[in-house]
Amino acid sequence: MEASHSDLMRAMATLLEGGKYSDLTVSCGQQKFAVHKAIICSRSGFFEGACNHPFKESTTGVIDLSEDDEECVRHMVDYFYHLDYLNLPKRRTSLNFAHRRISQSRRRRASSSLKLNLSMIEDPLLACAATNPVPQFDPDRPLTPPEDDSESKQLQAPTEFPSSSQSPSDEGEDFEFEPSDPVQATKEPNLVLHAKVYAIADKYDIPGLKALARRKFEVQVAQHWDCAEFPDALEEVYCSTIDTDRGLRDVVLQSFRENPRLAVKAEVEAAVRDLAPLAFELYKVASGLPV
Amino acid sequence: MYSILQGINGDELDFDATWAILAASFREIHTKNASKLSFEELYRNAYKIVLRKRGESLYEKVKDFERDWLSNEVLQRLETLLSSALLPHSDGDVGSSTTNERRVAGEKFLRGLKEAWIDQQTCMSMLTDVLMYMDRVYCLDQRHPSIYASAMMLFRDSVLQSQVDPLDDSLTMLGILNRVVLDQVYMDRAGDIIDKHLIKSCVYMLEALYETPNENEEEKLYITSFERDFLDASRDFYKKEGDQLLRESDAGTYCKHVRRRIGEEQDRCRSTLSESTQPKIEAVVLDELVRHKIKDVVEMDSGVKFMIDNDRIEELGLVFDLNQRIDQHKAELTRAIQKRMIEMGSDVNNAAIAASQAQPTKETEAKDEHKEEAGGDKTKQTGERVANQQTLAALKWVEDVLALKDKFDKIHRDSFGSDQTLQTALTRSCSDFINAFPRSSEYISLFIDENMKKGLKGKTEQEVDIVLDKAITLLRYIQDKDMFERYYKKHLCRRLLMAKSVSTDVEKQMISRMKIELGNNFTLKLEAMFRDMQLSEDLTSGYRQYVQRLGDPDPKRIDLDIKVLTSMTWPLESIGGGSGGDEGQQRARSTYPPLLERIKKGFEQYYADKHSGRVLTWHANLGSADLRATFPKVPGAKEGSSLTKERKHEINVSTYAMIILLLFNDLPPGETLTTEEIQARTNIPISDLSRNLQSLAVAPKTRLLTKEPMSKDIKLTDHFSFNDNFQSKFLKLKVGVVSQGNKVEGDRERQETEKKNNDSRGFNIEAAVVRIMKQRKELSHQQLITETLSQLATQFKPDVNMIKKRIESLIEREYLERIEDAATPSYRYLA
Repeated sequence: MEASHSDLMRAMATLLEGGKYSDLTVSCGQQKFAVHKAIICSRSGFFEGACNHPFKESTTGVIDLSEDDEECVRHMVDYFYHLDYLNLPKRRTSLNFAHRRISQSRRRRASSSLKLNLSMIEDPLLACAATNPVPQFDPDRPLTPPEDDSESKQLQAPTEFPSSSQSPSDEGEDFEFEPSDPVQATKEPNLVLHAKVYAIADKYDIPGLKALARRKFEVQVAQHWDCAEFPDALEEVYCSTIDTDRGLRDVVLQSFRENPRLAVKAEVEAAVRDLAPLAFELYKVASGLPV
Repeated sequence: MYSILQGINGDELDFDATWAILAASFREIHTKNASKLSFEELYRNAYKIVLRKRGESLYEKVKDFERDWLSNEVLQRLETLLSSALLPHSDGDVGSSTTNERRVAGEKFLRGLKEAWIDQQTCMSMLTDVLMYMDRVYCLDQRHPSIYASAMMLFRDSVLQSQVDPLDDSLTMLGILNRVVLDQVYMDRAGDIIDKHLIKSCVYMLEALYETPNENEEEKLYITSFERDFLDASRDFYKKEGDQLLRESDAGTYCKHVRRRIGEEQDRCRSTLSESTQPKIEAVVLDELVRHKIKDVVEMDSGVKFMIDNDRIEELGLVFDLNQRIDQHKAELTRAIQKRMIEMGSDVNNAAIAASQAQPTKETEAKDEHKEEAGGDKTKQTGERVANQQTLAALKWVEDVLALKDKFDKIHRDSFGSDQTLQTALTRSCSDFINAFPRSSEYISLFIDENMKKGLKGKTEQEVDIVLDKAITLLRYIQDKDMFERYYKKHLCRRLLMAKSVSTDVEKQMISRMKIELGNNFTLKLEAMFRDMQLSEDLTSGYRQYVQRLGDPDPKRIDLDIKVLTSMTWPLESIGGGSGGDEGQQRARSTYPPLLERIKKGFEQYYADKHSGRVLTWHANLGSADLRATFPKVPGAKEGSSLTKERKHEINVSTYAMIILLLFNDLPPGETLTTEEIQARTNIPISDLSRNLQSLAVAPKTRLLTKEPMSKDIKLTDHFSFNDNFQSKFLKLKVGVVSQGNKVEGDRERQETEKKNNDSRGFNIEAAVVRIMKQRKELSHQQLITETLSQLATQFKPDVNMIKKRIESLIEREYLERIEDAATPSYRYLA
């Protein structure tokens, strides 16, 4: 499961990076994203609508989102392919699919390896050993591999095409998809950014992104309620979606409830004074009424 | 306030300007010019409006826009398609336009409507996507129908329900649509080709629209508007068609037509209208063409009776199919089938009665017909022929009944798919007419008798099985099983005693079949008869050995073959020519010649030694004897004639005939005996005596005695002498006894049989009543009657009056008493 999941994720990353099979372009100012209808239309009502009808977009194959915030659009596209934004893998993404890298490496090895041409040997155990050598020393990795490491798995199914995560590691294409928790608190608060991503997800009908942005926002507010960005975030939250959208609003109210000191900050006060709906909701919270 | 509404990009919202952009674009979309429009721009504008809390205004504007568009553009285009052929005329008729004109105009209209509808759907799905944010955020929050649903309702209101004629507010586009579709359906029914696909498209439209925003399944426009009209119109149509068909065609054609119509309506629902209509239109067709007409169809000249008579298996199947669709009991068909079966059964019964009574006039014919059968008998007398004729009538009756049953069984199997209800009805009718025939028990027994004696000779096991099956089949229908048992015993008795049965195995098979069918009780006595036969054989051989051991060297010893019959088991009185008890006594006293007397005594002694206390009664009338007779040379006989030599014959005669003949052994030549003298010396009952004398002296081929004067009838004063001139080309002769073998009972016999049967029924009823009362102690009259009836059902169907009489009699004899103060008449058992 874990291996096949990272397999898919790596392939998705490669698709976005290389733009292969792209049948749609999303542009925003100077940025252009070569994307795939199958991947984005199936996740967003807006993109589906744009591609489904004989509007200009479906003939030109370009959807211009220049009216939107460039950064937000990039995060949105990232989300479509990485199921995350901001917190993307650091290592460089291959422009080739995993299977292609393997076959290329085989070719290279077949011409360079003089001592032992493993590709000519059909022993599955040897083949397995060749494609899955002893991992190179990696200071970040524990010395003893975890129990369910590929070693045992590959022995169980030695004839399987060795496309699982460890196989290309000897090629230096050291792309390890380490699925880090997308909603860990980070040093940068990014509260306004998350609120904007939340709004664009709402605008373009991408429920998954909306939920992700909300969780990120929630975690960050809990950590950084005291930050300077907070008042701006309040305005973003209360103006970028309609009043009935409780997602971020509830998070904001909760932080006021938990951190009474917020009210005495001058910048916060100024922001609350500008935002009548927020002020009214805070009144309700203070009176113990349901919002 | 406005500072809040400054959006992400800080721009202000000018609603009217934004809406103007959207409205212009929507117009482009409706005119199929969307390719220059940017979806993103439209989406963004709509998004902005909603985000700035103007969702409601946008929603209303879009609705207004759609309403205007539909009533101005769409409706006007449709109105141009309305030609006069489609509009109702003042006389309410379809008018003078031809079918073809109407079809062309109708199709044009339907096509226009279909296109308008499809355009509306396409455009609205585009608008829906553009206005997605409004639908998702505003409509959902405010619980408004989606803009798509609203637009469809607008289509319904502004297009379909718009008035066509300002003077007539009942005529709407929808009304015209219904009329046109109905008209097309009529054309289809009349065999014209119509564009089914086109109509189906319009039906889809009506199915997608609802009367109210709730989108209740029952409120589809299709159901509330079109389907109702369709069903009403179809009802009228089929009512007329049914009447016309009944007048013009025969029942078979009618059924085929109805079946075709049902199939057509099914197809139509599938291909042209909606599947949901199928059960409803089928109900209409069935109502009009079947439920209201089936009775007439069944009773037509070419109806069920005709079909049965002419073996119209397929047509009967159609009638069955139709009747089954409307009535699980298939009452009409059942009634007709039963009626016809009873009629045909009665015909068979009447034919049998006629055949059994028509003898005297048909004598010669009968003689020719049955020459072969009668040929075996030495005596040919009217009585014999009558008997044969009656036997034949009986056999014919059985064959006819079986043929009739076969016919209906075939119909039941091939036409009615072995339906259970009809099976029951047919069984009941069959039982009814068989039991309506007073002689059914006797005839069935006779049928078996005839087969046991002759019919089964040389047949394979399989063929025998078939015959036995037939007999058992008929037996099942017989209500008065006791009557049948009585006859069967009588016939079996004669077969056994006279060794007429072709095969004991088959006899036993028959018994075991009856045992399976009717139970142990029924065959108890029949099996006892077989047992007696077996015991008698043992007894005979035992006696023979006993005689040999005695060492009686008499060469003239007479071989005795004896049958000892248990008196209660064997119906001896019924085969003795219907004689009463007196005659039986008299028979027992017949004087045997000394030679025989000695043997008789000897056997009696032997038997008494083996079974003390048992009394033997001799039934000479049932026995027979083999004699070796020597006829002397006749002096003066013509040269070459067999009379010139001494002739020996082996003659098989009845025991009585032997006694008579033995008298002449001791008589000097030339002397004669009168009937009276013979009677005095032999003590044979006079009726038996005269019958035996007839066989010996009157029957042409076995005239061992000469009679003076020569006539058919025997008088007490007639003289008999030994016929020295007797000659026959056969070495072995059999002297039959006149009318002994009368197979079918005469009226007098029948009355007696019935009387006896009633007596034994009386006993059975009393026994049943006592059994029930002993167990229940107290019981109401009604319950007692019911239980008695059910207890006796396997044997016979008792007459309720008879039960009442028996109860009275039991009360008199103090087995029961009436309970004086009971609410309902009740009885108590007296121990």
